[in-house]
Amino acid sequence: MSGPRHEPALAAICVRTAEAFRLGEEATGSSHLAELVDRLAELAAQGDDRIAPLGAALAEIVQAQGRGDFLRVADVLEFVLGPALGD
Amino acid sequence: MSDSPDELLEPTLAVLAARAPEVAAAVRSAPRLEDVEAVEGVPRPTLRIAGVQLAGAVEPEAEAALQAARIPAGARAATVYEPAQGHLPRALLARPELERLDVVLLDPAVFGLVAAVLDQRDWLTDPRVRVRLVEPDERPRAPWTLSPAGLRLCARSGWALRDRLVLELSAAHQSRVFAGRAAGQLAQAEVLADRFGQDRPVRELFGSRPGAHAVVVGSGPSLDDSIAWLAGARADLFVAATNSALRPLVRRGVVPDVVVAIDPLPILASHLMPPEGADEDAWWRALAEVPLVYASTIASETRQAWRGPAYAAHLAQPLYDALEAKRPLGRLFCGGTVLHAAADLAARAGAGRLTLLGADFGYPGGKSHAAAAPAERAVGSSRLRLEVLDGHGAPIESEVNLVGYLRDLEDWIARHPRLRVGKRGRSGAAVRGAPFEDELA
Repeated sequence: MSGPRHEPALAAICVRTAEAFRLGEEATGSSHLAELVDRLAELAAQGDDRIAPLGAALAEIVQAQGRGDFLRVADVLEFVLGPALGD
Repeated sequence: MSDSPDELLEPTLAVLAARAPEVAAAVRSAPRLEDVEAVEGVPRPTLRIAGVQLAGAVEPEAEAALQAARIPAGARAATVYEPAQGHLPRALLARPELERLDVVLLDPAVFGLVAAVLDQRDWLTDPRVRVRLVEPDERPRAPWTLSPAGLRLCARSGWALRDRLVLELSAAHQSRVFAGRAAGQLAQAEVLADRFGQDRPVRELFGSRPGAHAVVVGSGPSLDDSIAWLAGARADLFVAATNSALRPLVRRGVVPDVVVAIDPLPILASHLMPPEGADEDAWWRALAEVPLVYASTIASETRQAWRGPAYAAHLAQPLYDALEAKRPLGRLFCGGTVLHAAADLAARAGAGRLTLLGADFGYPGGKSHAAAAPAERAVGSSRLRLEVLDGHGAPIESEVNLVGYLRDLEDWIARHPRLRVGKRGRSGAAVRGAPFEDELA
């Protein structure tokens, strides 16, 4: 199962979240990230087959966020997660 | 990256010493940082210090361009807080119209580490660059931008500046949040005015305690250390309790002169009521004459819960300008915490001296609140963590919103030079302008 109508929006959320973190806007970035996680959870619940392979990237985001490494979060969002979700 | 650090660091420090000798000296004498590594498996040389990447590891120039865009096109001067790996100063120096670039090292030790492995001399030797350290009491100097890793790797001497940078970076997000709540808050103010229109305006309390020694009581964990002093000195004090400090005070037999509440959450009603198992009649007898001062932001349930006299206020925020003009109640400063409103009430009542208790702005000992306070919360769950210095000069865990309250309080104190402000409870955050009272003559 796939959800092509979601793809551009999800990739765009990844980019704007990454940009907020690159600018030091952690509150905005965290808000966007929560939105992204909610969307991914919806897709996972729908059985979207793109989500399972993203486990390692999502785990890295959680770990990096936990240690305050927001530029690493941004890199994973923009260069790993976004391309995997977008076109 | 250079494999022989001294080969790169020494000539870089020589360049720096010629331009800013005090900065070069600070870099040389900075403590050696531990937990440093080169990020592996990434396209571009990238350092990670204490788990924090200094720059994007894939497209650092694009990242720097994004950060540089904070500086308006055509600006002739700008400030960079934390050069990190140098990409941001380079991005700005590519602008021919830029005549001066102040580059502030948030931690000289970080610069020394970077300069030992990544050549920084190209931008350091640009005649438009002035490298400096954080100045005492420095506030962000517009137009400014930053490398965000500096927010996490800032030396303690720069924490106050760092906090103000974080707050400015959070401002847009906060504005969006507040804008989303504005209509509801105005509607709630009207509901309170309709239901409790008999309440007195808080301005009737202004000037009512000329020259008093006021004590503003928050419910931070350090209150446990200070409450015995308060109980002993109670008779000579004007005690303004925040809603969540009421139970700890009453438990120790301290009945405040006023209770202040501003938070819209309906659960605040429970803060005003006796704790489970307490003698309800005794609770209300003790508080029968104590006024509740409430902002028009609170829930109706909270106002309804209070059985004593009550005074209504508007918060001193533009949102309430029209309401205050229509129904003048009097205004109380508030940057987001009831502690601000309680302090402002004390000042407007005429206090000449103000002591802060339980005003911790962090989690000393890993606790969020004093014993018996009704507002326990999980510590360390916030994604937006920061540290502040306690009264012993040691870091304690905090988070962005608490640090914002702290800095807003410091600004408020600075705007009240005639008010002598002090603080008790060294396990909580140190507050600029409020020396610990065991230091006072």
